[in-house]
Amino acid sequence: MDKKFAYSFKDYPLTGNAWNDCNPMTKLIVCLCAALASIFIFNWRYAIVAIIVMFAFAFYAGIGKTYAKAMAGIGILLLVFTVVIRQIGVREINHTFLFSIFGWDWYWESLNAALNIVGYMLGFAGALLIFFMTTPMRDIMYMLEKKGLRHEASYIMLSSMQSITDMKKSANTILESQKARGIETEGNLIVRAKAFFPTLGPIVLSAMSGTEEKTIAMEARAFSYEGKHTALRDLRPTTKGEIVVDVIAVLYLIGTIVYRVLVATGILG
Amino acid sequence: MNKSKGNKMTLFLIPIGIAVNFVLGSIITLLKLPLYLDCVGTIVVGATCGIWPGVIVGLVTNILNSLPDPTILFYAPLNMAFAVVAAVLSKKGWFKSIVLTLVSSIFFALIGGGIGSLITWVVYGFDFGSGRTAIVSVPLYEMLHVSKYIAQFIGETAIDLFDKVITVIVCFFILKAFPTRFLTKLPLGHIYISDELKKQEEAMSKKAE
Repeated sequence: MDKKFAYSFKDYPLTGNAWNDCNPMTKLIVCLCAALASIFIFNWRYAIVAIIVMFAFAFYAGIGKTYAKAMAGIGILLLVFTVVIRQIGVREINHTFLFSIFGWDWYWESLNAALNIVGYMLGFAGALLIFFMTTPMRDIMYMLEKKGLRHEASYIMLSSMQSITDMKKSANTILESQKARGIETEGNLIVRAKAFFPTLGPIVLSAMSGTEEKTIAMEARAFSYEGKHTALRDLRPTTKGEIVVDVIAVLYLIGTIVYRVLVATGILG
Repeated sequence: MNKSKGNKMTLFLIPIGIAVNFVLGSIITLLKLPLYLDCVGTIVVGATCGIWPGVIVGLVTNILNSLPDPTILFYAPLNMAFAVVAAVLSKKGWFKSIVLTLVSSIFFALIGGGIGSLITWVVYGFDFGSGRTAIVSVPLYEMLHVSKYIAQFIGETAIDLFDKVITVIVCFFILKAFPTRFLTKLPLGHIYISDELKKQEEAMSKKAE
């Protein structure tokens, strides 16, 4: 047997990238603080700076391309819709005229309100995206399990993701076999709707019967055992440097909350 | 003993419910139907296993849904509310008759529209949201001069109702197709068994005659 492969499980799974090697807890705290800070500050000027910083982070963590794609997917639609709808919907506060497109007047107040909304949503989404993209789900769940979450929760989360890919595959197989049997899946709406139920039945029922077998199989492997469970991979514990980063992130979040309270009470700005 | 086994079955049914939520969506996309059907699994698990398993299905579905787009995370209470309604109506035996099942779709649509538009209202800074509902609600606001929230609520409920009618019909047939052997092991399964057993007994007595 390849000893190198076997011994690779004795060390923490490190990649050499300072962000990716952080304990999932550190990543969660930093990203959550950044996400909530965007909500509390609620200003598109801040959001632009935050998003630029997030992109720098994403490229450092080696997920730049997929991150940019995801952000563009969320952002462009949100931006276009919100800006246009605010121009139509918010009229009471408008008095700074900007420009006119074919007789349709645009106002600064509406645009500002729309940009604030888009800014905080992208700031919120962007920070969480970095967390989910750089942390595998099994690491997140193992970290939570170590913090005292029941192992059933990990099972639900990880098994769901597996079930989704499995069922999508079986859905395709069933759809193909129903086609072979003569059910039409192309054509007008009614024809396509008719194909829905014969596809649905086998998928759901086979998944149900699989559940019972799974229960027996898992029980035979001591799934309900209440003692301490072991794990093949272990996560690197939080280092001192990471704790400092956590504290800075939390202090920053508290700072933004104080800022929001001061603005709301009228002391600031 | 029997009870703990039932709980384990519930536990293993939860991932299936979540997967059903996702996979129905992908079948709909494959068949290019104008629907969402994103809470069938939530309603079925809520109806057969009770409030908490259903709520977990709703929550985890939402978390997994929000992995590519975290802004969806704000709408988590919606799917969880469907599970609560499904469990309550199931205990009253609503999902045993097709008429009451169809009536229940109004509840789901009102909750979908009510809570959904409330969340949109707060998330988008107490004004119209973006996306599909705005296409209905902004013209409504322009023409009827109702308040913005009412316009948003009507828009969201109207779009939801059609989707929820199909959803509850699908749920009804899935619940009907549950094997009795399987239902006995689920917390709320007994609601759906009694009728089955009666039918079987009748059939048996007819055969005996």
